[in-house]
Amino acid sequence: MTDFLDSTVTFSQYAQAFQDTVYMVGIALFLGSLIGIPVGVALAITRQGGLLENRVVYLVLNTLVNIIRSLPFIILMVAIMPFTRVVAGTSIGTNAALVPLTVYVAPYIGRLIESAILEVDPGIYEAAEAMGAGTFQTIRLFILPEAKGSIVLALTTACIGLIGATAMAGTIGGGGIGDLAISYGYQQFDTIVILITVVILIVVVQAVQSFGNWYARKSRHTATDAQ
Amino acid sequence: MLGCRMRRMQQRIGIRTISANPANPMRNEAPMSTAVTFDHVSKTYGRGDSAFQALDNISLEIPQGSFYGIIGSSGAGKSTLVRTVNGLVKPSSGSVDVLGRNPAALSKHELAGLRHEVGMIFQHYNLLQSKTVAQNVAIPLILAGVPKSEIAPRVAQTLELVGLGDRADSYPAKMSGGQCQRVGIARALVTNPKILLSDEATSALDPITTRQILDLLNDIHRETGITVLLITHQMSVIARACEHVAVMAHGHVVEQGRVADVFTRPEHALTKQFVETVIPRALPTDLTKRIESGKEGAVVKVSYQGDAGRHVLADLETATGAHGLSLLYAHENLLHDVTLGQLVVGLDGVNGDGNDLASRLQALRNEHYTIEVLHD
Repeated sequence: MTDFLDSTVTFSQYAQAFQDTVYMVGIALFLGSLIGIPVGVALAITRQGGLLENRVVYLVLNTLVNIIRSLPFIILMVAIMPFTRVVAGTSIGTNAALVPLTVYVAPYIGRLIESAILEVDPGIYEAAEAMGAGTFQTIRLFILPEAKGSIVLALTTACIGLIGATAMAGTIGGGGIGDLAISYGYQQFDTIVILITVVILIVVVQAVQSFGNWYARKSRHTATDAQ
Repeated sequence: MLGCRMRRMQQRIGIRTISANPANPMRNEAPMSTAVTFDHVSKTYGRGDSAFQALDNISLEIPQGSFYGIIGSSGAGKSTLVRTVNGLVKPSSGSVDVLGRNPAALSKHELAGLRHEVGMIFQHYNLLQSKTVAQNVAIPLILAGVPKSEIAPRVAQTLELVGLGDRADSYPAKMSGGQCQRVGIARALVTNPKILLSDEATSALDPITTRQILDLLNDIHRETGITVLLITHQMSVIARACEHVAVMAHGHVVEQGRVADVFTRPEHALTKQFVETVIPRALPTDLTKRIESGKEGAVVKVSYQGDAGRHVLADLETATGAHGLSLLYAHENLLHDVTLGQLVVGLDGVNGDGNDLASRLQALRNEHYTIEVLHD
């Protein structure tokens, strides 16, 4: 307890940091899904042998996703700063951090959704076609419901990736738990802050993963799930 | 299977008057329309050296309202053939006529319309694991644009038809293979199609469940008059369920006809092998030895169809002038709509002249009997 009081960081700072993290992860995950899910669907259906095979669209999307995915977040953040300034009006602060976070996570989600959709049994596509379903109907009534469990797990993974990325958003004044650990714990040698933030991050990640697993299992209705 | 030996089995003449000529169940004697016509259909996958010809100039007519089976080994092209009916596969050449339309020539919209009239069931059911039984069965109705208020009653009615009225809210993962296939059947039938395509629908099921599913398909066929086109690699499936059969090998139809005829007189070597899996052709070896040694005297093998079994012994006795008959071996198989039997009979008091016996038996050969002299 004495050690805790010795720390220069107050409880309200933790609360604020936690709030910032939740805000950044939540919004970036939402915006990233808005872009990433359609990208993932597009990747899955335009690839060779896909529902709407289209080499050009696939090549463009695939290359774009690979380019963004090859940049570490900290470099991406700095590299797209002019873009961030145009979109958010500033390149400093929590809202400014949302831009690189979204750009970072959208192609990540796209890739994960793509593989989630590719997991769907080819027999489902055949059944859909045999029933006279159009492309859009096949995606909406057959593929997305069947991939839902995997999509939930994909978004869980993306969410945890985002929590990690927000720590680096601190370098542009994004705030959050990770920022707290770096600016107080690392730069001011406050071991207690490191310890507490590590515990918070572990608990949060565990909670997110457990919720994701539970929800994915619920969506899948496989024989092994307990009712 | 019945294998027994009875000495001096005397034929009771009275039976003959009861057994009229077996009613001919052939439905295709009257001129009738066809549901599907394959006209010189070929399909080649790939190009150049890697090209594979799955179908080679196939012409076949599937009569309206028939229960038609296509049998072949893996890779014979039967899956490809059945998929040309609902346009999942487009022929490389030739054409398919389905209910007066050519799937390969239809627009996307027209093809979707045709597919609502052609239901299909699959080996691995292809059900949505994420949806309940009722939701799975409802999908074709949603696709066909049926008003929401009509969907629930029609789904319930169709599930009742396949015997799953109480499983509407179950998920497929919690059901057995047979139940899943029933869901598949309900899903295929819910739009009241005119044709049902069955793609190895029982190949993943155990023998008892296979029979139940085939009997269900037969009941539905009888009640609704739907045309069923079934493909399988199991001759027992053809024997139990089908009226007509076509045998495929390497993209060709090598033999076709009424199931009873093909089983009685298979011509192609492959057909013989398939028939053998249901009706063993070889006799027990000890019996063969006794016959060959002459211990049993003159012996004939008679294959018969339907009610002809009732008077086969009397006919034999009359035609050959035997003093008595010894039943050495008997085997009877119930096919979909006809019984096929085999008898091996010793003819007492007939000996010597083989030509004489053969010529006397000639009078007996008709559409219900096939007679072979094993020893004279």
